[in-house]
Amino acid sequence: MKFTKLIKLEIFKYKDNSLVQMLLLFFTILMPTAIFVMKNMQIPMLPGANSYFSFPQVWEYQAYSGSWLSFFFLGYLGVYIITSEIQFKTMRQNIINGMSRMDFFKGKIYIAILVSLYATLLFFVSTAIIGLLHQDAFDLAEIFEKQYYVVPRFFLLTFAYMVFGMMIAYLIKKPGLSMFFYFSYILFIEPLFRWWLHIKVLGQSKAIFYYPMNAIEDLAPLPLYKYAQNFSPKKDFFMLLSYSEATIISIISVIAFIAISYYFFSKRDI
Amino acid sequence: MDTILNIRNLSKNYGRIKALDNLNLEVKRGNIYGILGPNGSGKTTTLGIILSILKADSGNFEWFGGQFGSNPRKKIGAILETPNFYPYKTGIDNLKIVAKIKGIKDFDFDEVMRLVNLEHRKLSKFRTYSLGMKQRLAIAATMIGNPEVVIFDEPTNGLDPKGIAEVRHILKRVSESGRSVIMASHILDEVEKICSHVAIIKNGKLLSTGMVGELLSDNYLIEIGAFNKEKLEQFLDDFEHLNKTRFMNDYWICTVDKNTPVESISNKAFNAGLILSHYIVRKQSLEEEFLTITKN
Repeated sequence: MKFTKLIKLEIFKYKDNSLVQMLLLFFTILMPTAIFVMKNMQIPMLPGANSYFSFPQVWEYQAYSGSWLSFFFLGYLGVYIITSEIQFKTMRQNIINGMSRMDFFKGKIYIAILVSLYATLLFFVSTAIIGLLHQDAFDLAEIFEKQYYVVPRFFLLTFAYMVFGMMIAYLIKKPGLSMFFYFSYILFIEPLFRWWLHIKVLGQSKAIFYYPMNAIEDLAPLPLYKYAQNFSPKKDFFMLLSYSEATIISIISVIAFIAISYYFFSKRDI
Repeated sequence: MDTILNIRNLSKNYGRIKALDNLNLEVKRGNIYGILGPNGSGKTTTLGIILSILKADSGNFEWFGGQFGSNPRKKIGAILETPNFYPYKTGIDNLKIVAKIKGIKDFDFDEVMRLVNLEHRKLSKFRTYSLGMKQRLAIAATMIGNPEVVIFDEPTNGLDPKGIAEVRHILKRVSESGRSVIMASHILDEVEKICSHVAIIKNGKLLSTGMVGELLSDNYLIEIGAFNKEKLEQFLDDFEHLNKTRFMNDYWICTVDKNTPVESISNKAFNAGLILSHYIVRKQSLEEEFLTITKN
């Protein structure tokens, strides 16, 4: 099936689904508003709260708060759009009705791309509005100062969470268990494994950062980490991957997630 | 008559359980083909493989002689096990999804909803349908795109008598429409009435196949009862070419080898001093044939 037919079909499938509507609605409401939680925060030695909302910093803070929303709402959406098809047995019925496995798989990837594009657009527009409201004069150079790649990085981050959620769903199949594993892996399993392997067993090295979820998180890290890095007396001290490292590892991870998903989906009974 | 489905040496294991064991089947265009078998015999596995949702361990199958390439399922309408639709969407929206997948642009959804008597509920969400309505919607979905073959797996499973009667009526209409039909069912009476051909499988193996008439004409059945039950049992045990299959309340049902003249049985009983209280010679029903074949 063609790209447009597949995307129309996927939109038609989900447009009446209340859970999908709720996840997107929460994301849409929280994306421009979540950053205002920081308004009342005042951390010693760090810039004042209002600087969070000014260009160019607002891009980083907004990307950071948006990354949590993408992880929570859109990553779970990735899990749901696969497990719901398994749960309702519509995945097998779609195939019986004449869809090829490849088309079914592509349809889900396309919807992840579409949702990620929407999230990125919302990120861009909301950040631009927040920044402009806190800006005295309009200066394009200042608005994007060293932040040209934050928008594509945000897209990559959202897409990565979605395809990771989809991979978990393809592998585990059960809705509750998939959701539990998705959140657990990102919040606990990978960080604990990294800590155990690289601190307890192998000894600390930069390899501790080269993990998929860590790299995806470092696409939009908490900007305060940068200050911590700057204040460290050790020259080789770092808490974050560079943006280029994080981007490369994230792209490799996304390709791996898609390849693993398709391998299992195409080989298994459904 | 050209072959629409050719299954060759299909095998499938679930761990140590052999679900299909070198199964071979051929379905010709226009056949109404019933697949019979006890629970776990491999009926649904066979249908799952030919509909590409299950992977065979070995063997292969071909639809329409390869005429429609690698994805012939757009020419097939099928329900496997349960009706599977999006519960939050209306009946008609679910049919639209099927049409979109099959690439059908102009389709009269109202007409097909009328056929299955669901027109009044076409805008209700699928999750609000009764089981009978769900099954009827699934039958409606199989009609989309004017398929060459329609496949039903236990179409009356879980329905109440009214639902069974409704679905049976619709199935009859479908089978009369000239399409090829493949139907797996437990309800042998249904298969006997609707199907032209039948395959009986057990433990994943094909036990018997052919036209329903052919399958039934091979053997006769006698129902035989006598006042002296012990003597009757002894007589039946001693009679060659006669097999006791079931004891009903006061008579035995026995199969008789097709070469044995059935008239001679009553004479021999008389000569053996048996006074018969019940004696009927008749052909086997599909159910009895099925029980005989699967018992062995």
